[in-house]
Amino acid sequence: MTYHFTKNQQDSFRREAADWMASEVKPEWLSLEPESPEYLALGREMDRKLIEKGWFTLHWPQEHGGHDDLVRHAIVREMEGYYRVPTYGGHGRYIVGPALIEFGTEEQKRRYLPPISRGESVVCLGFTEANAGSDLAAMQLKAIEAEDHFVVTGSKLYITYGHYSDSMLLAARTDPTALPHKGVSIFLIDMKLPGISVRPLHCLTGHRINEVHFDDVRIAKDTLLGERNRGFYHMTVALNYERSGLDLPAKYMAQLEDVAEHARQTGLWKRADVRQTIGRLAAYLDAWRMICWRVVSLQMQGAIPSWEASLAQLYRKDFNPQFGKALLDIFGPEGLVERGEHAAPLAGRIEWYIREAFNNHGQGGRFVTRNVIARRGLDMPRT
Amino acid sequence: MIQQWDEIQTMLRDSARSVCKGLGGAGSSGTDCMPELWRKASELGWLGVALPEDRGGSGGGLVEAGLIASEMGRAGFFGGFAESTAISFALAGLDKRATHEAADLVRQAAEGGIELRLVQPFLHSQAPAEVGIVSTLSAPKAYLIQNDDELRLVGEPVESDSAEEIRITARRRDIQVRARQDRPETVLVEGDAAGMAWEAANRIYRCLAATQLSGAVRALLDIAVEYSRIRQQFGHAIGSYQAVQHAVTDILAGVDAAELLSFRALAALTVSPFEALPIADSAVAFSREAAWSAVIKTYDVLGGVGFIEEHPLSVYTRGMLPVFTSLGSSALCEEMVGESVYRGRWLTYEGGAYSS
Repeated sequence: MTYHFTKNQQDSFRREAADWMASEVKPEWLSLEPESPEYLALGREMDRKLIEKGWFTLHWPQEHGGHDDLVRHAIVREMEGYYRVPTYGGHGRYIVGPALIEFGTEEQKRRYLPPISRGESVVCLGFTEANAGSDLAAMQLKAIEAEDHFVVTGSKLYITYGHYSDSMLLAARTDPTALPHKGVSIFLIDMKLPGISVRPLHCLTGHRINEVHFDDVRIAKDTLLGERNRGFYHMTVALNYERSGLDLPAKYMAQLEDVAEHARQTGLWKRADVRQTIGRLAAYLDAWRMICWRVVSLQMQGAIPSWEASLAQLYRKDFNPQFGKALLDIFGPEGLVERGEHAAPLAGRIEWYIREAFNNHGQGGRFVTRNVIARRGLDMPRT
Repeated sequence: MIQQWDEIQTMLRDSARSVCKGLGGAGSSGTDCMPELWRKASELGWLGVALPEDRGGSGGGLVEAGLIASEMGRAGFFGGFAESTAISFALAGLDKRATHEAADLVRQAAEGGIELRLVQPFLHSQAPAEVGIVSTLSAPKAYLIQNDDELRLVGEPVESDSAEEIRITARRRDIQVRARQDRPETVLVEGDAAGMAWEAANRIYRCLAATQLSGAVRALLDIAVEYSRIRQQFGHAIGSYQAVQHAVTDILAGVDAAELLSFRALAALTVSPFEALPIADSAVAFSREAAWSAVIKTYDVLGGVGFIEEHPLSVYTRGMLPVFTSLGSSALCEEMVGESVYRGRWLTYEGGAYSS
């Protein structure tokens, strides 16, 4: 195998990143409710520290403050996951920033990139609608041209970070007469515009997602990102920027180590089924990690990962239910004791991990993800 | 961890694929090709591909051996390449801690004059001279056993037909051998190094066997996809149905990760063959499960036709079953990985396997 960034350099940076993150770890990272004000404040603090280290936008081009360094970026992502570094948004750094760099006008880059790279601006993605989930091309939200602006009407659903975002990458139908995939454009808009309202939907994990309603919202024409009516293509490319998902297997590795440590301390490790279950999940995580690294590898070769990135997602979606079931099997009723209760194993984290096992819908569920891989990866026939 | 074959590796893989395919593999009568495969492997330097040049090899590594093992599996050959290569590599790595006899054995194996086998790597019986399920190529064999703190060669190399043969499910290509108890034994390695060599050989064998299984799964995936495109039911190709698409996707997902993991483990073992690298255990446990699942799903896709004895799927199945058993049970494989987690050696482990 060819190593573009020498193995010694990688190992050295990995150690540096691991040592630094280990020195930053705070117990609250694991005890706070996700998206509580305290948690988000810690997320902002860590963003700031990553910026100071020069690690926040390692993957961005040098002319925009990055280092063109996908490998070190991937290592940082992994370590952020492993140490469960709190987050504050993330779409700007991973998706919208790179999309702006590729499709944005010079004015858009000047306006939006610096605050994203300084961690001052949170961006959400406004793609999904009530009747446009797996089938995004079915979106109905409209942006109708009117003189020097567009008027946006409709709703977006399941919008992560929507309640604390400064702006939104919005997909809207700009040509109702065109074929579903061809009449969509994307805009980068201010979330404080008159006519935008955000309503909460609270999830099983305590996260908040949102309904975002647009009631005749006027958006300037210069908010259009990329080519008009080519938004579907732009969306697909934008979502490909950060699809390695390397933080996720790393995060679950840390969680599984939590479980193993608990089993060691409590004697659960004497149970053969516990040892075997942990071993099976660990092997799966190692395999998933390789799939994620392949995505990085393809990106480094200049390719745009397609089904390979979907495969990384599938590994996540197939891991979650296995992990939830394993935790139920290992801990039994004790695993359901919530955070804050004296009897809660791992200070209630097990109970939260079990709830998180059902978080499998993002960017398409398990069926949809398999469909995508079958068609793009294996060229399976359509009916 | 940039995953890209270099030019030499690509050439080696393509050459191995072409040679194995030319010999017929699962599409032929199998056994008849094995002597020819061994001859070719010897001629092309495959048997010493992992070994340093001063040990009679070509200076590659275990990744290169894995590429060959994978292509053999893809063509339906499950012979002794993986085991012989693993033992050679482990013995060669001992340097002066091994005897001259061991060094000679490594050279002979690299040249194709002898095929090395481990006695009882993972079988339940503890009888010291009982050899497990093995796959014969055509070379004389040397059986290694570990007794106390010695690694011994069981007798002089003998032709396989001098051993007792028991037909097993993989039929003619695979036999179970009981080595004669009265053969003279040669000590190859003594002291701690004996255990190290034994464990390293097993560890490497298991990873190479994992790549062999993954190679076979690649073939199964091709079979399943091709069939699902042409087989019409209810007016459509069955590959257009979601259930079938999901089955083949699962095969692809499993084999992709199994390959990446196994080759990553082989790269790490090339550098640290005597270290109990967690990633090696993960590669085996995951590949074993992925391969088993792939076999079952391929039968699901093919239905009755795959169950016909002459169908390649059945031929692959017979060939793969002994490999499954040689890796130990799922539970054993999983426990080995669990031990690594128990020792707390994961992403921050400094030793290469979990580094980038």
